[in-house]
Amino acid sequence: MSQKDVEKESFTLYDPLPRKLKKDKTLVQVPKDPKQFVTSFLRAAAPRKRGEQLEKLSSRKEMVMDAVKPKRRTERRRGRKKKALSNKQKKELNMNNIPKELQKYEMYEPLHQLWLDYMRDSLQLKNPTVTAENLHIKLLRCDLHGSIMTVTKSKCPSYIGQCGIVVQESRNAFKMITKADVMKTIPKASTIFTMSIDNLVVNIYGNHLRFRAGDRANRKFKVKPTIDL
Amino acid sequence: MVEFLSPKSKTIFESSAFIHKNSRHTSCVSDHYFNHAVEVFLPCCDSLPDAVQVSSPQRQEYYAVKRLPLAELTNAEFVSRFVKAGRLYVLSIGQHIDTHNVAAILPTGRLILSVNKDTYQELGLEGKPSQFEKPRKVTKYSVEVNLVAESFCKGKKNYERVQWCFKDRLDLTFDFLLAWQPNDPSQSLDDLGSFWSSKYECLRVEQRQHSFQMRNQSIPVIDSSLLLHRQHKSNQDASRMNGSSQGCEETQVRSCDAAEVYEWLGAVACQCDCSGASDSFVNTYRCPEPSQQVSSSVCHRWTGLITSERILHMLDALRSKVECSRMPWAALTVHGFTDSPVSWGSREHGFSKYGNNLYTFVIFPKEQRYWLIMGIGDHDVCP
Amino acid sequence: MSGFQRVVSKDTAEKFYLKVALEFENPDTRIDSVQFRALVSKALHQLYGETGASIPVDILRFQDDTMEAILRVSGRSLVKVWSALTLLGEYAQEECAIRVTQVSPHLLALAVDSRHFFQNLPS
Repeated sequence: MSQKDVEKESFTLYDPLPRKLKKDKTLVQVPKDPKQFVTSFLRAAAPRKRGEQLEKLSSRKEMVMDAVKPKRRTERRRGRKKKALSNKQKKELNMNNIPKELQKYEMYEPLHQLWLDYMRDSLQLKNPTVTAENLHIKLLRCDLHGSIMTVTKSKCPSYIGQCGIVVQESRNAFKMITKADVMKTIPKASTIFTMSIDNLVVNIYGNHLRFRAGDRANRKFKVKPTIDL
Repeated sequence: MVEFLSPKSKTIFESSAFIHKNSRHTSCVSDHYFNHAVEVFLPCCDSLPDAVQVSSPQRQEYYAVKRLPLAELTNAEFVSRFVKAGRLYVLSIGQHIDTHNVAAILPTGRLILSVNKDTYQELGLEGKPSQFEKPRKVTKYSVEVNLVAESFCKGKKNYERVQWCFKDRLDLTFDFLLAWQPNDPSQSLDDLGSFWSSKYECLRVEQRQHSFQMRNQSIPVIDSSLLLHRQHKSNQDASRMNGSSQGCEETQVRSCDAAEVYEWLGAVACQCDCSGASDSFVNTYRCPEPSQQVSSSVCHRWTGLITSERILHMLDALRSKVECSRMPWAALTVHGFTDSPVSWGSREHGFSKYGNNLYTFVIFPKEQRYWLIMGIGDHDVCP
Repeated sequence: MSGFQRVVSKDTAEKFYLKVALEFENPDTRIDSVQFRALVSKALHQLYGETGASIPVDILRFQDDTMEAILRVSGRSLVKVWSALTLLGEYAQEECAIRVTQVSPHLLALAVDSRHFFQNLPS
């Protein structure tokens, strides 16, 4: 069978050979000289810029294939990661702060309602099988943003009686918005907070809760020796 | 044998004259606000002289109110009707200052609260840690509220905060003693009683009296110019001296030491046995030498809540009495309350094993001289 | 001659005074002042041995009916006397207790007791 026949008949079955191969006859034919075959194959397959290295390759000398211009690659990777800001940068850009015009108590009242629903849902207070111990664990893990908290006991008398909706929680402090539309930062250390969910009144010993809100969710709590402030 | 540290004591001896321009007898009496008992000792007397009897606190009554909330004492109506309209003495009783909370209103219109750590952390009023506590281990705080300050009126933040703290935060109730000296003579103590009589249990209390007479007793001979000659000689460095030096180099001392007199007055007040022999098994105490025999002497005591104005009156009456009679000297002792939060002025007072704050005047007929002996405890500030 | 003089003594008090009350299990038991002095010696001997028993203690006053006493001790031995009295539990085969009601370096201060005065207010 001649080549032309094949082309005609297998028109739908086979693709024609690439043009490169057609140019270089040595590739199509069964090579007599393997060295020649390798060089021509490499020339066809290798990227264009590596042309100078081909001779080295064909002379079967050892050479390192990777680490070709590694700098450019890593640079590109770092650049991609930079899309998120670090905590420090966030702080510098004042992203953690709530602007003054948004510090309105009524703005956060829906948040409180949402939080109440969330607490009712997760604590299941109406369910008679819920025991106090279960409740403690759940309360430790739950999110406190949106709760109305009152300082009932503190080493510093001026904090006592402060009351508001929690809008931010950090490792060492709660930020709350009081009814007078002022944002107050209350340190957790040596303070006892009180919040209420329907009929349940919860006292929170700030000393024992000095973790970030996210960390608290899956953390093993250690028993502290004292509840003294 | 093991030695234990014994508690410290502070005693102040002063010698001066009533007519001296820098005499501090008036400030000593009037700054000591809460007086529990007054006692006079008059040698060479058969009975209490009328002049002293008239000026005595006998007819001064005071009120005891049971379970009165502190909010009632700080509300604007009470402050304007009583605190600002006279000298009001209020002191809580029944609570010990070293363990519980104590409250007092000074005649200057200041409310002093001495509270323990737990109460302080819940109360919400700014205060100072007690002076006598170790730093970082404070268990007592003293809170001061100026009731006559301009900012303390209805509608002002300070007033609302204080009211809220006493009403909503903590329900601080005490049994109180109240005495009142109105500026306006048309008013009387009855107003104070009727102010609450519908809501709280108010009792009108009389001063309790106690009197006894001693016959054929030996009393110490005192020379008013020799205050502490014996001690002075022995440890001159330890004592602080002011004014003229004393003729203590005399070999023959013909007077009793102030410390001895002070002890002896105590022995008389406690009706102790002063006839001990030096080799006695039970008691070796006896009247200090030199002494003199007197046929009869009188000791009279009033106990209750006595205002300092009344004591000033008494001191004046006693002074004129001593001057014109043949008494060698006379003594007036005033005892403060153990559990009062202040001793003199607004100086803090505390309790450590004992909480005395008392002073004694020994009055001499010659040159209007007097000795003033003040006894205070470890937890006290020197007046 | 006439002048102002002020001396402040701040050190450990030379003398201390204790007001104590003796109670027996059997309320009818009565002792006199000499017996009471022996009781104090016994208490001191029990806790501090011979040297303790030699601590000088003066009984300034002993009331036979209420068995209340006022003792005078030196400031250095106050703690010893106080502890010995507190720990005494028995005298002459009879159970007893000593209550220390007041302690002071000022004898005058023992004449009144404001802490207990208002406990029996008429109501």
